[in-house]
Amino acid sequence: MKIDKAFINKLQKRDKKTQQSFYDTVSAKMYGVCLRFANSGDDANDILQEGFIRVFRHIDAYRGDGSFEGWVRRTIVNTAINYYKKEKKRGYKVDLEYVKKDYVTSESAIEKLSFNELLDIIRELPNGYRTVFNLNVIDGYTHKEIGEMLGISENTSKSQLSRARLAIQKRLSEIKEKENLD
Amino acid sequence: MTNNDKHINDILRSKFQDFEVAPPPEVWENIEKELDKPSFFSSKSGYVTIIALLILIVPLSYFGTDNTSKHRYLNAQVAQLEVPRNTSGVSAADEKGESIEEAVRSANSSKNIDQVLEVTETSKSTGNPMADEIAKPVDSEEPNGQTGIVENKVNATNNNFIELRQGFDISKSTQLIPLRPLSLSNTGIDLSDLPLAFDDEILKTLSESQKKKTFWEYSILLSPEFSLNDMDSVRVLNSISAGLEPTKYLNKHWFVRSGINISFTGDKGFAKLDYISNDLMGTYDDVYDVTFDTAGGVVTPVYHTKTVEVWDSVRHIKVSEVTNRYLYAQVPVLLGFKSAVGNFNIYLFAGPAVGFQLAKWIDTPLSNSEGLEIINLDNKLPLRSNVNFQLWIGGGLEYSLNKRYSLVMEPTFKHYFKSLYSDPEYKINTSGFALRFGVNIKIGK
Repeated sequence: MKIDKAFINKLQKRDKKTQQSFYDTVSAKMYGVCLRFANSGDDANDILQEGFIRVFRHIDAYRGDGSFEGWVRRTIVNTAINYYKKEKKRGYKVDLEYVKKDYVTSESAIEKLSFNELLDIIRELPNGYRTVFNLNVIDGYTHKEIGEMLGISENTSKSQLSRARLAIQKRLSEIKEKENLD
Repeated sequence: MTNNDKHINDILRSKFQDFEVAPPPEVWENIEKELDKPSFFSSKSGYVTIIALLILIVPLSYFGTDNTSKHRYLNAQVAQLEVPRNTSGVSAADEKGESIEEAVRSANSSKNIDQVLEVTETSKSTGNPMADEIAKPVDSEEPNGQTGIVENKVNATNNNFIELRQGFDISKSTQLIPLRPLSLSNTGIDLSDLPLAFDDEILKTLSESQKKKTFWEYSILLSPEFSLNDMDSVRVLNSISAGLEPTKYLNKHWFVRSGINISFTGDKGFAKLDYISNDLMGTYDDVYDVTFDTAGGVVTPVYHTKTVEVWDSVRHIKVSEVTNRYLYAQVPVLLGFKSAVGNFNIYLFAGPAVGFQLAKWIDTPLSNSEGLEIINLDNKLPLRSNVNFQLWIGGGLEYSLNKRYSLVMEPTFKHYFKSLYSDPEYKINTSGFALRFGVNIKIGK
């Protein structure tokens, strides 16, 4: 399916068939984004649902500069960030064990892991760590941009990323130790 | 970041960048359901609901007024005055050549008509339109400073008597208000045409009394307003406003309010700047001379160097956050309905408002562009329109501090009919929630 100007015009006219066709085309990719940001599958479903509703309702805000898929992805990420902000208001615990020790992880240890295993490790991170990790490492946002998006300072973003890395390395070490024992 | 971290990042990014998982089918079903629901203001039904609510308030207010009046006048005084007539129905005053008032006073000399004669509940409608007109409540201020409602009631009990009643609103006071001495002059009744043929003078007097029911009130309000909308590249910032809104009370319940609010608001967004600057790339040590020293028969070269800076034109692309700020004057025209509940007054209001831009402060992505060659500046933050139109719907809770001053809190929903922005590509209708609080000052009651 080609996402061109005519197709976007149809989406802006709220054409239902075009909406479904667009959803069928990009939903798998966007669901991957949601899974990275969410605590659980249910939360990922909620983020995807809310994100696509925002896309279809606010599609008039897309001005045609830049890729449309990029705009949709950004909207989904923003929805996920709002989800993070709601969670932050409720309060979440940070496990201090994550930051006590230095761990060294080999590249091969990560390469050996499957998608689902990696996803589980990322999901185990506290919300703040996970969001910063996703935005910086996977989506390529700078710490300044992350700070603006999440309403935190650049340094907080850096320290959260550093702690996220330690947490992931710790988890990978545990997996490796378990494999050695087996 | 260590090289190890960088490699791990690259691996993770490559693994997750194109990570695709089919979502469960119920997600699309839920999206379809949500999209089928029209948003409140995107459909005519939203406006129809508001009009329907306003239509509902009108009859409710009518019945509300009627109900309260039934219970209000619990305390009344009644004077039964004899109107002397002879058997043929001719006024005794005419026979004696004296005024009717003199005749009435003379016939009732045994009764002190300036004193309270009896306390009872007021009677219901007389059935006579003229008497009922006189019986309408009239705002009055009692001698002791208590405000009450005076009810004048005139009934014809038979050919020879009129009954004058005067009641007070005791619901307004925690203690019984001493009744004002009842006298013929206080009733405003011209006795020249007894028993029930009242002339225009009486109606004029009543009409003037009725006018006292309308009064002015001034509201001084401060209000933070929270934006309820987000857009892709624009964040509508919360705003703060301060205003003065005079209110004209049409009667005890209905009011019309207008005024002016000065609102300070803003938007946050991004600007992409593409520019060339002359940057220091680094330095190197340039050998400008070599000399040779001979020490112990060994020739050693000595290199004389100077540090040379290397500058080059470098193209940059910078994304900066920009914030535009605006000052608006908002003029609402609101219709409202107020009712007393215990020590508080509660009220509802709705109406249109228009906002005029007074000033704007437009941010630039680069504070100092000296020595830079700007290739392209793409400011993603649209400018706001000079004029906007809104619908305000709100409620209020008022607590009286004393007869003149009261504290108010007014949660208010504001919907902007047209997009806030002049750029046609930003067509989103925005809404806001304002929590207005301040002081009401009553004038001239």
